[in-house]
Amino acid sequence: MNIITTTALANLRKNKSRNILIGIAIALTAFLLTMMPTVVMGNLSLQFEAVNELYSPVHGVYRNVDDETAARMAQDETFEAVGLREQAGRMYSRNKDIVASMLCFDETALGLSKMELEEGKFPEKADEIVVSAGCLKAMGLKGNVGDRIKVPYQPMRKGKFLEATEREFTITGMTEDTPEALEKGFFAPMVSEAFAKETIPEGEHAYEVYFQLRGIEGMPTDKIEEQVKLTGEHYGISERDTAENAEYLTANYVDTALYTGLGVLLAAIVLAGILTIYSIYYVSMLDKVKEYGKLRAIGATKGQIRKLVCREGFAVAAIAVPAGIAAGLLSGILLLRALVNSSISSNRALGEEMKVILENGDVSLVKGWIILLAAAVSLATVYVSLLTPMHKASKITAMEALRYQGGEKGKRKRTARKGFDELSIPKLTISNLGRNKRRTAVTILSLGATGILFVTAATICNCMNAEDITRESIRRDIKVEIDYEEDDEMHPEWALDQIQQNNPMTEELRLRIEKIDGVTSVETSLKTMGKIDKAKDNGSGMPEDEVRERSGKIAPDEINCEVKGLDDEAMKELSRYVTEGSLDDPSIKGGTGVIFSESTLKQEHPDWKVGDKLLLQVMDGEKIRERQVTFAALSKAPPSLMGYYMVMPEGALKNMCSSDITYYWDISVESEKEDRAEKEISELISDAEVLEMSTFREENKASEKAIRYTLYGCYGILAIFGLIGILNLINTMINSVHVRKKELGMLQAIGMSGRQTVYMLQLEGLFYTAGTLAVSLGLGSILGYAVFLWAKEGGIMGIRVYHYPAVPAVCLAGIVLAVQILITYFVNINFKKLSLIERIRFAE
Amino acid sequence: METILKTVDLVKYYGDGESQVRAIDHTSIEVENGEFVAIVGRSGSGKSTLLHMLGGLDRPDSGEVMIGGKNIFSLKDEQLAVFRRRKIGFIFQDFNLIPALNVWENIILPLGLDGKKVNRDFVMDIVKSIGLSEKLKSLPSQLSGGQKQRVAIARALASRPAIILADEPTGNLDSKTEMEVISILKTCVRKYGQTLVMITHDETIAQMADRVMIIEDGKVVR
Repeated sequence: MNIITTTALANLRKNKSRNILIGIAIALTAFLLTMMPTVVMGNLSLQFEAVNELYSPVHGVYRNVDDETAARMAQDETFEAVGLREQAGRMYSRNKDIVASMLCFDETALGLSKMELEEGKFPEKADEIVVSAGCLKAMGLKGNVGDRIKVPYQPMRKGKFLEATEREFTITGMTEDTPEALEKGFFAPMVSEAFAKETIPEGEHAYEVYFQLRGIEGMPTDKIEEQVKLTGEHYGISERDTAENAEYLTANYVDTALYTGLGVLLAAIVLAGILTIYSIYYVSMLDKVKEYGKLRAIGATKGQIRKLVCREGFAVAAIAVPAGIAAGLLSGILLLRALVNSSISSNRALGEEMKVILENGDVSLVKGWIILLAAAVSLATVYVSLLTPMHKASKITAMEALRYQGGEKGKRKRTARKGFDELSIPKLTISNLGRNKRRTAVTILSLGATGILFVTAATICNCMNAEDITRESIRRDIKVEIDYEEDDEMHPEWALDQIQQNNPMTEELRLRIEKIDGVTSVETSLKTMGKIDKAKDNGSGMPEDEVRERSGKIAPDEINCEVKGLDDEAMKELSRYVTEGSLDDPSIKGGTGVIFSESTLKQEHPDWKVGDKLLLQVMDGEKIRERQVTFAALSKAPPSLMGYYMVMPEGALKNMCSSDITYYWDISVESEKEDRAEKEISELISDAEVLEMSTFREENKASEKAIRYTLYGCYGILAIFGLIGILNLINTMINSVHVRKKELGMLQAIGMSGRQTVYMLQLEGLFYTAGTLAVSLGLGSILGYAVFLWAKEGGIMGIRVYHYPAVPAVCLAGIVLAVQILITYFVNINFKKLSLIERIRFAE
Repeated sequence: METILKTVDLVKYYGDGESQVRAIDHTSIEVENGEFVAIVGRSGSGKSTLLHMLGGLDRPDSGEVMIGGKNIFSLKDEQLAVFRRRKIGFIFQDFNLIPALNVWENIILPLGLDGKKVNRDFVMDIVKSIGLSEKLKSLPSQLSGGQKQRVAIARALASRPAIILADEPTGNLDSKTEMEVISILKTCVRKYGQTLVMITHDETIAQMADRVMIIEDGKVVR
């Protein structure tokens, strides 16, 4: 071992307290650099594994593809694989709640869709079929593999079902029923390509093309999605008929946004690490000037001094980095397990699959590259933090060191100080803080930076109110609404206008609900789908009070709005959220005024202004009703009140439509009778499958859970940053005492009592505390409010009302103050360990 | 003449057994009020340890230090600190000025610590005596070694202590400045009627004192 290394190791022991502090800072940096990616990447690996387990390995699907296009696609080199799926018909059941779509797959589609049979084989001949036990039961049939069954079915042609007919099939295989399929009565029996060919004449097929693109390895997901769209366009497939397999793509290709986010987070950790380690070195360098000067005096070269500082730093890192990585890995895995087991994934099936994968240990959560990366980045952080101290130490000359008095060095040397006429302990403290202005400012700012982040995040967390979030979707205690599906071409019967033609939300049902014990009110809201455009010549061509009737329907791809009808009570509530225009506008009273949701309008029609005349068409059963309306007001009301698009007074909307367009009931219930009322309502609506009930209590629980994890995560990261900040404070205080040990000893020699010394240190500490709190709370509150406004504008996490984070702010103040008191206490104890004479002799 | 400082059988040993160092070995001395006493000894003779004990900076293993008739080691640490700032003025070899304070503040520091009001005329008189009237706002880093030691002398005088203890006050100065500083010190002590105990290894400097004590191996031999 050469003399530089020996000296560095000796220094390691000599500067024990400083090196412990630096060690903790380095270990914390390594800890965060390991823990964060372990949790994020582990979660992604589990999710990706689950996706690959559950989802088809296709990049996307093109729907409604005709025979010729499908054939061209199959020949196209752009595609790695092209599989065809088609609905050839549906089994006919008198019970319209049973849906059994007869699907046929070509061989590639079968492979891509990961279809597995419980037993038997896939159908090949025209009279072969694969069914499930649930399907047979629902259809009132019986049979096993090899049995022949007579199936009534409606063949499909150009998107329409023909007259029902019957055919005998041989069961070649059985599939498993999912619980969802059994619950909803949705089944997918499989027929052969031969059957599809027999049933659907050539040229009239409408395939779903499952495909994999060629040559996209290593491409980011957004580029792949773009290519899916472009390829679709090339074949004349509309955007509506194009769907990318987002989950599969995210799981298997690079998601730029995700990695950018992780990168930014890691960069923030590295920056915090550099700031802390550097500031610890910066402060302790003041103490080491004499020592390096002496080494220079006895002949050490600049390079040797640089090496000395560097080796001492890396000797600390050699212990701290592995410790930090080990702790980070362990915490990361534990945290990840807790996260997965608490199922916070939005997709239930995916969440369950992730749990299974985690339990089976199919995915390794310990990733070598994360450990290597964390080690490399931690060491780089240490090196970067050491650069300036190395440079400074090497520049110290022997003469400089011998003359050194521990004062501020720099280009702007102060020659005089106005000073005080009389002295006291507080004045002495002010003089001392003034001497180390830069160090004082660096400490307050680096501590304050963590505080600012803390207060800002606390503001957002505090404004993330579970009840506010729940009220976005549910206004009263219980909501009963129609569960419709507008875009499902396979199931036009699920569209809102179709359901409303035979609306299950009858007046009779409403009255029965109202009579339930505990129910205090049932408020009705209307809704219908429609189309809205600017009126030609701003309405000059059409009289205001006329409602025109047209036969037919608005084509699904032309529907561009939904209109809600609100009763007087709800309209009153809505008036609180009006941001432009007024609900007293004569057009609203006259039944032609509409109110738009601000966020939707700004996005879709930024050029429309209050007072504009618009042409509104709404669906009314088999008819279209059309009238000219006036854009009367803009509102920021939550979706539970005004929906996502536009509202009209109930009377005005009823006036346009003759059919019953009731859409939901907001039910208020006495709190002590809620359980029973809930049960009774649920029973009452159980017959109508399209009705869905949700309760405030349940939704609120989910909101609370969602916020809880965000809060935990948020405060967890902040606590670690806070810890780094506190380390900084401890270091500054310890060093301010350590560096001035002789000075303090001398002050005591000329008569400063122990109590006065502690008082002075306390005042210094108080100054740091006050400075840190002023920066944290002042700038943090301003930044917090700005972020609140941004979140409110963007409707993020249901943030609407500003709540100042008083409790976290008081906690922050309390913690900083407590840390300060503790530090002073320990410094005092440590200080007393040395006798006065030792202190006076210090550094000699 | 009144005895202002007296030690009785003062003992301070470091270490045990063979490695034991007898820094102060049963030493008894007396200093009269207004006297200028130089304690001379070689390096390691125990002179600094003696001075530290005279000033109450270090406690003896046994024996007493009486200042103005009071045994200073009967005081608790806090009381001793108060006693020091009121009754003892220190002048150190390496000046020990507070870098953050200017010349004026360094001089009035013991008064400030004692919560006393500054007698401006008296302090200004000291400042004139040491010849630093023009440098009152300067920081220590801008002063020469001789000037720093003059500030330290003024600081020791400012609180009108019972006794001034100087630990090699010229040890860090060149020979020209050395004589200059010692002259100022002697003049001031005379002017303000102070008692001065100075330790030095320099016989020439010692000759300027009223009385010279020689210390060898922890014992005052003359």
